[in-house]
Amino acid sequence: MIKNGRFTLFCMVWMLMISQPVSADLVERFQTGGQSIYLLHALAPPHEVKKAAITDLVDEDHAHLTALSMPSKRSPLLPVDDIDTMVRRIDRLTEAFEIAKDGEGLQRLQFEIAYEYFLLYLHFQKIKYGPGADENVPVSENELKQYLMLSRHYLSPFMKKTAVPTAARTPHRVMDNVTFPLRDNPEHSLNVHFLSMMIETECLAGEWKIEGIHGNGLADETQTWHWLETLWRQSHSLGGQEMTPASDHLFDLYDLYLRYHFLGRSLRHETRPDPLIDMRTRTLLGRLRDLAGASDTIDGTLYAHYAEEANMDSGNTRFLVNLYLARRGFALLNNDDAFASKAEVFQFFKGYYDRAAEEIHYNIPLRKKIYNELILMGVQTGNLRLMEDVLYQYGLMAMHIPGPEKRGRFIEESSRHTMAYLLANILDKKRISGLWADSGQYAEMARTLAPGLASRRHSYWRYASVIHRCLAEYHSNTPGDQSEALAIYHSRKAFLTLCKKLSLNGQTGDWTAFQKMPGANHFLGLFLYYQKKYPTSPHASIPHQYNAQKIIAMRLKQKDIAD
Amino acid sequence: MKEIMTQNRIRRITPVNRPLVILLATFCLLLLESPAAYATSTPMGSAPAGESYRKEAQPLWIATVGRLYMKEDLTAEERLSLFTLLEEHLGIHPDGSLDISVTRKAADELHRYTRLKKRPFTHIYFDDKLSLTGYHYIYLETCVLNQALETKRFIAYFENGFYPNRSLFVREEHYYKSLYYYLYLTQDALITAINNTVSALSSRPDALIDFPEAQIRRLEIIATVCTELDNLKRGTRSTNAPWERIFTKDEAAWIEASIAYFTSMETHIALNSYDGFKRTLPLSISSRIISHGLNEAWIKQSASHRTVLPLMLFIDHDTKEFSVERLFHKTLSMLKLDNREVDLLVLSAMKSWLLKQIEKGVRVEDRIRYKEVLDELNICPSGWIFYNLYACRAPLKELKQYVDDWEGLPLERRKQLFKTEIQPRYDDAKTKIDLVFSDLEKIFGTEEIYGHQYKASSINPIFHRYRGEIDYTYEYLQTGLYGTELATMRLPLANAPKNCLHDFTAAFVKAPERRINHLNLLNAYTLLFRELTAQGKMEDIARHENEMEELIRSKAYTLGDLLDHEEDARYLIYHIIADAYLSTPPLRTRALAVAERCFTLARAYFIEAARREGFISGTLPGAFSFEATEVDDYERQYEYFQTIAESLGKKILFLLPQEDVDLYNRMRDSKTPEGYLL
Repeated sequence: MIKNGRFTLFCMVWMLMISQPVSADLVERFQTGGQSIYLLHALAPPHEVKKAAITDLVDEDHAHLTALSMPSKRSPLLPVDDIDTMVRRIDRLTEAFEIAKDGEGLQRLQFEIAYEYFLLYLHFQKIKYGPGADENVPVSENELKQYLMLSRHYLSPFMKKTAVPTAARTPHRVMDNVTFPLRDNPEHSLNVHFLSMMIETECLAGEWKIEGIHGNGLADETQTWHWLETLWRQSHSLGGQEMTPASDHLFDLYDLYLRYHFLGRSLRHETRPDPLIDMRTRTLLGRLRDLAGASDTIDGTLYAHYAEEANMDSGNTRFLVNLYLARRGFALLNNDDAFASKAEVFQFFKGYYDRAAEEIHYNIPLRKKIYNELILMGVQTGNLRLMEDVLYQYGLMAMHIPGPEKRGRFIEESSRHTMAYLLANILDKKRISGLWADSGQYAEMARTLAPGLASRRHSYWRYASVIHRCLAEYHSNTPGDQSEALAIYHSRKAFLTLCKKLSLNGQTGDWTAFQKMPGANHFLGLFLYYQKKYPTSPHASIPHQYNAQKIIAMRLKQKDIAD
Repeated sequence: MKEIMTQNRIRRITPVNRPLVILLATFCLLLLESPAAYATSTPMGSAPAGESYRKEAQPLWIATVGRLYMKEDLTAEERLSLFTLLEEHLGIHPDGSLDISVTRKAADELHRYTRLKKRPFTHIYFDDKLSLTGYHYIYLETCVLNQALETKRFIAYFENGFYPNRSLFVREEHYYKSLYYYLYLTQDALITAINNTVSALSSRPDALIDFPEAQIRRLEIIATVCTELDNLKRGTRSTNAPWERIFTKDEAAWIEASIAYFTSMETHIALNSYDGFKRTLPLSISSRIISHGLNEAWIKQSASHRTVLPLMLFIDHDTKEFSVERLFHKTLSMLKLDNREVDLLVLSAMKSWLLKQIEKGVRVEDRIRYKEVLDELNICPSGWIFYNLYACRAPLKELKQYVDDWEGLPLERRKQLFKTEIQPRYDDAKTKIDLVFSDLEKIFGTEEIYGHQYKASSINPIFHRYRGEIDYTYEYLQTGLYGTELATMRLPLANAPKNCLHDFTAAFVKAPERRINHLNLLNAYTLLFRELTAQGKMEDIARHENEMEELIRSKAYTLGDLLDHEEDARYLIYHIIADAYLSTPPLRTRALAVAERCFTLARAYFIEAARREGFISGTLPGAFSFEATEVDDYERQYEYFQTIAESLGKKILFLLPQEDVDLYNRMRDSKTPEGYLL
């Protein structure tokens, strides 16, 4: 069944891809050249939230997913917007560099120039591939490549010096040699290996073919880690107080490292599990959690969540890397200024979700959650074809993965809830758009899902109501033997779900509480309408479960008063 | 050994047709005076005997000149003999021209003289002039010292001999001093002559000018001299002759004043503004000044554009500001001179500058802007055209500012604004674009219009776009002045044979691949139909409608095809036309066709949007609930079609397929908060 599902899925995706009219080359180029922007660096905050429709995610889930998808603001260590400052500094530094004698001053100049060129790269990359860019932006690929090359060029002396006997040296000594303050700010400093790691990762992400960069950034990443480790030890030992970087700065460093660490790991396509790196990732997340916890300004729940997730696949963290990157899609789809149409953005991030799911080795049921998140992201596109053709298949896959259905706090932890959400969206969109003709195919799925949705703990009952309403209207529009009975049955169910939720909350038959539920009057009206339309049907009687008759009575009474 | 040499020498000498006596006399003299010098300065056997003969003769006149030069006061005879001696040996003819072969010989001799160990005459103030430049300087300086008598000699020699052959001389102190003397002697007279001529011309512009050939030549030379001195002052050409060492403070100040006068472009523009001067002055004078100015600006630029950087960084070293804009405008202002030689220089300089700017500008907005400028520059056949075209930008931009909230202003305010703000800007822009077109038509021939058939010339569409936009904006604003009286006013757009519609059509037909041309043409049509409707000219409406439809339907152009639905003015146009038809009984049925076209357009946009958002099943679009403006358009046009149909007594249900009607109903229903309920 799963095999079959996958094949269907493949066909569907294929069809969706070939039906996209936008030039594929350009989009592809955006996905490599602009990769790091969309995956690592913060985007504009989402537009103000529209009035939530009943089929949208409930507030907690939405807030949770948004939090996961927006790691933090753009790192303060990479101020990329002020081009004037960059160019002036480069000019001044280059001038000083030309007359500088050999020595520590020269090294510092080299580092600073390399740093500014790296910023210049990020700046023009943002202009060329960032939000709102199109193909007419007058920045050439070569130019971008050139900045990266220059940055690398100025950094190369350090690399040669330290590349030879890395293993023999203690990390401490390496650190002492090659750390410089950023832009003359003594509180902010950066290690050359950190910069080199970022350059190499950008190079890998943008697929820039640059002479001299053959590595995959792994060596530099290790060096950087040693440096960060030293900083951590310094700040946590009592003796070295005066050397200690401010904890905010330390957090910024760790956060930036995390981003490039994840991107690097994802790009390197690790084939063998490496416990050392897994461990580093876990330590990293743990420290970020601690740092964020110690600070007043940073919200630490995000890192706490990740630190917890990192332990879920028996120590394997490879899936987490891609999951972290994939989650950015949710934020991007809530923003309107993506690089391509929403369907294409979805395709891009879907790839990361797929990889994340593949790379789970031990805790297979965890894949459910990943597929669920994929679906939740996909629904944000609002694209009916996509939901029906792709997401529904993913939903089936998630539901067929064996394993206990966990009852978590959020919707993505249950594939039944996610499926209900997806189904409600599909059916509602079909109903409103008038493309409802084949809604019947979802009836069986609806029948399995709907009864379990009313619960005291969450408010997913709304999806059940929506599904019932859509089916009611579908049946009443479709000629058939049982359509009349089915229509009134579903409209009754839509209404009764509300009543059931009320009674679970301990407010059985409470008219004021009923009024406060979203869409309450509508569902009640729907039932009354069909009751009038099909009075002979067995389901047309006034229901007595959950004191529903009291609510109907109140409604009729109010109507009388109004008349 | 010595015998062979003597024999050799005698044998070589024989062909020379000089009296042997003189030869022997000088030979002996030389031997007597400095036997040691002879021995050392003649490399035995290697130098040909003929040359050694002449060399032995020279130091005599060189020393004589030196002695005369160093004398306190020269009598008239002594001075004359000094001149004669110099003229003879340096090769200066009586009319001032220079015999180069003679002067080269003199250079040789002088060179050899300096290498003598014991010179026949030496003096501390004289020895530095022992060179060709120095000797010419002696000649000129002597003239200057006796300027009351010798000014003519100086000028004749300088203009005919010295300056035209300046490549012979070393750029050093004496050379620049000579230049300075020339300025000193001629400048005042020339300025007086210019001023007299100018005042004569300003009182009677058509008078023949009294400015002889010689003066023109002098002006040219002075201009060149000034640029040369300017270069020296900026220390760009010769680094070993610093300005301060050569000239005293007073001299320097005086020279700077002349430089400022003669190398300033304003002087040349002012002179060229008189027809008389424009006809007689050669183009090369101005172009030299321009190239000097360009050079200056560019050298400054290259100092601030560091070649090691990948970006163009222009920082003014005084103000520490980016000066891209300023540099561009400085170069642009050079085109003010309508002068072909200047054009060549400036345009090529500008093109390369702009290209650099586009590829390496620091700010991306600048890159985009200069790309546009370069595109315009590339199509301009002359600098004068480009200068005027560029000058249109500012007033046009200001005019366009008024368009947006024009309708919202009260009528009185509009009238006042029109008089004080808009009219002068329009006149400004119009004058300039007319200058452009008058030049273009000289080159490409005129555009002709037969009825609505359009015979295009090869004038680039960009020019048409500019002229069209200027006219359109003006007319649009003007239309706003009449309010309800629009019907009674005779308006140029509908009546004038040449109007913005023609320009926009020309631009569109020539370049249908540019979005802006679609936009402009549709805007012009909107205005046209508005006016025609107000005036009730039904035949004209029908005629123009057909014309427009042809452009919309034709495969080659597809007017409106490149536009987004939001900026597509066709909805508005169709509404205007349909309303006009509706109010005219014989044409009422045509109104329905127009309204249907309008609806079809909205439907096409809608289906496109539905496909994009994935709300399509087969070919059937669904009503999607996004905030897409295509939905609104669909509804509006549907309702409009419905209104028109109803006023003709028809039902829309019979005019449209059921799906379209359903779609409309669904859109309506999905807007109600309760949702859609059957």
